[in-house]
Amino acid sequence: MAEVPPISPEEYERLREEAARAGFPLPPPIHGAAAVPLAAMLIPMIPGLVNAVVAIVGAVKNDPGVPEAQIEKIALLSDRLNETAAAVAALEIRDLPGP
Amino acid sequence: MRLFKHSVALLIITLVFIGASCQGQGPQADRTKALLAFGETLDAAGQSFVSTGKIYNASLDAGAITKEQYQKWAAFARPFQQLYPNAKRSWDLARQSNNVTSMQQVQTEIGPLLAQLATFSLTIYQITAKPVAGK
Repeated sequence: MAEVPPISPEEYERLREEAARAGFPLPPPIHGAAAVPLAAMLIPMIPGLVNAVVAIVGAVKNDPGVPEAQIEKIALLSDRLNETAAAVAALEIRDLPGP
Repeated sequence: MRLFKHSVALLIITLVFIGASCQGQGPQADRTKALLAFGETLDAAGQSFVSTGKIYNASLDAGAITKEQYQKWAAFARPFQQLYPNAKRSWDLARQSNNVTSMQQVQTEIGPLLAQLATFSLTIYQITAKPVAGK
């Protein structure tokens, strides 16, 4: 990932409000060194996120019919989902005693 | 970093998922696309859930998070773990019956969980990134 200059707390707060309006709450600002890498990674992602959504939704809307490729995609997706579902079921969630 | 990428991927897919859910009742092409979008959402959510859970477990072992922080995760993770196979079955059913209406109930249930999952992913990233950033 390219080097990104640190952003100000005000700028982070503004972006946080925008993200909240879009329905994706970002964590509250962390003052100090930890704030920089998180924000620096998040901020450049925002235009990419918007572009990705526009591209995917556009492709979906403009794609006529049900091509064979999509049927194959669904079959592959089904296999992946089986693997993911097995991993989800196998995840250890520890039962810690209460206080 | 991998977890962070999963979180971002989950956010992207959640957006697509929201868009796809709005158009699930159209002709065959729309149904196929809704099926793909919901399936990709489920897959990304499941992978993100597993990554996040592994990091919570490792962080607990390393003493990087408190018991209370882990308990919050566990309180979220157990229902998610139970709901996931239902969501997968619903997707399978929609695929076999060529009827995406059966996915609607699950979409309604899983939507808020996806947002919560993204929050947990970012939270644990924040916690585990602190010592590195503080160098």
